[in-house]
Amino acid sequence: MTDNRADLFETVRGVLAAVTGTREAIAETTDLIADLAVDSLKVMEIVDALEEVYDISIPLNRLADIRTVRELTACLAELLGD
Amino acid sequence: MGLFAKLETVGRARAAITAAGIDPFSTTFERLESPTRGVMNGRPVLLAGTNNYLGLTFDAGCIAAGCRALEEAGTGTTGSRMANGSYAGHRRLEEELADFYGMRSAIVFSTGFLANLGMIAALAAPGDVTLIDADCHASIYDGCRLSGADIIRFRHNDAADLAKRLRRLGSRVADTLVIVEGIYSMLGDRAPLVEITAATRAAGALLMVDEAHALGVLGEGGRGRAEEAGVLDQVDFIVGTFSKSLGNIGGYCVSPRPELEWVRYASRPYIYTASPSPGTIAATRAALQQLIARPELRRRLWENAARTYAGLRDMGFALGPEPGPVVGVFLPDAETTLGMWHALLREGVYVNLVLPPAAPGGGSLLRISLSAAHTAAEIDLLLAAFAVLRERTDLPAAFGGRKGTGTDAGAGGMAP
Repeated sequence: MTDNRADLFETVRGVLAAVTGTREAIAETTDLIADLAVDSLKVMEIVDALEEVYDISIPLNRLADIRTVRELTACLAELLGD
Repeated sequence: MGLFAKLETVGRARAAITAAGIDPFSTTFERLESPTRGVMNGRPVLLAGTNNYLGLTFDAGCIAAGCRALEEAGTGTTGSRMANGSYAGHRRLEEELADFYGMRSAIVFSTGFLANLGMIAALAAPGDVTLIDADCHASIYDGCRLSGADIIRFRHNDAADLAKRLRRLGSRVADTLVIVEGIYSMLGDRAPLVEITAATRAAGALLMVDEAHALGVLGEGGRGRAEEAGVLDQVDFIVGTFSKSLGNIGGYCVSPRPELEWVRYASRPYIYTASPSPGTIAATRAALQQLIARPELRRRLWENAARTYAGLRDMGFALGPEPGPVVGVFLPDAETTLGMWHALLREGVYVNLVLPPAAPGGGSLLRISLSAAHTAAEIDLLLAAFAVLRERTDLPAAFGGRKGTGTDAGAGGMAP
């Protein structure tokens, strides 16, 4: 079972808000490092949470090029076979 | 900007760490007097951070074998085995390793690091999966990167998390290499290999175990964690190093699988580097025979490990989760750890300083490694030095109890 892109984005947004505690609006163009100050430990929390939600493993090498919420959502969509 | 910009952060960190006059990551011993004694800055030091588990570096038989080979075959091989040819010693060592493990064949690499790079990158490729314990050594992470395969981590020593991730792979599990270590290098904790082997075999993936810190240390015959756990016949690849219990340098892989022989032709870290020198090979072969013939070395190592762990635990230090030849002492922050490392050196004791990101969970620790060659008096000296520091250092309550923080620290994982 996979969510469509909009649902994926909502889930990602929820996880990011919970892990970073941000009250800022999170958009698709939001930069994880520059805007949300996500460090390496928070990355792992985010990954853990998304892996549990979707029952997938997100390979470390797929994370290297992800900068924005849109890129993270696209990565999930690819892993989920959307 | 420019190429050096990224090194500036390193340079700043180094400057801060070396403010006390000694760079803990660039220490020099003017002289080595025995496996457990050296001279640093003109002062004698007890060596308790060398991975010299069986104390064989000064073994007369090993030295004699190395000297003979130097005389007979020269100082170096001056090239790779594929281009320049193997020496008889390389072949003999491979046969002896295969016999020792009761496996079909072995490959000798020039270092342990290269053994991991060479094996992983030859076995896995883009589209495949490497599924590794989060606390695996940097050489395993780098081997996975070099392979181009997907890299998935499971929680340190958590076979259930491994099983879950194997299930998630679906049909990709047939193209998956699971990699764990027998003993983890920073905290000295052992892999739950029975459970890990069961999960891996049930899923149909291949299993590689790195026994770098377990060779000569665990198992009835010193073969490592897989032997101790009774799963030696269920592991596809065992990699290891000559640079710890065997007191030399080099790495190896043994396997019951005939495909291992193909790796030689597909492994760039094997093909494109010079082969180990004749002296190194001869001394390693002699050390392997010592490991086999002298199980009392293992017993002595474990006596020293048990005494050290119990002594430090009773002083209230927070240690890794179980006694072993590696004892990790957790400290609250990098500054305290660095201060204690210097203080220990002033007391005449050398241990390893481990600062973020090298330690599991991003913490700081002092890493002790024991040797069969440590005398009871030397363990007394080591413990006395820590006792002096315990008195002087005001550690927060969380670091004064017997709380086993090892597993917790590892659970967060690390990405070297």
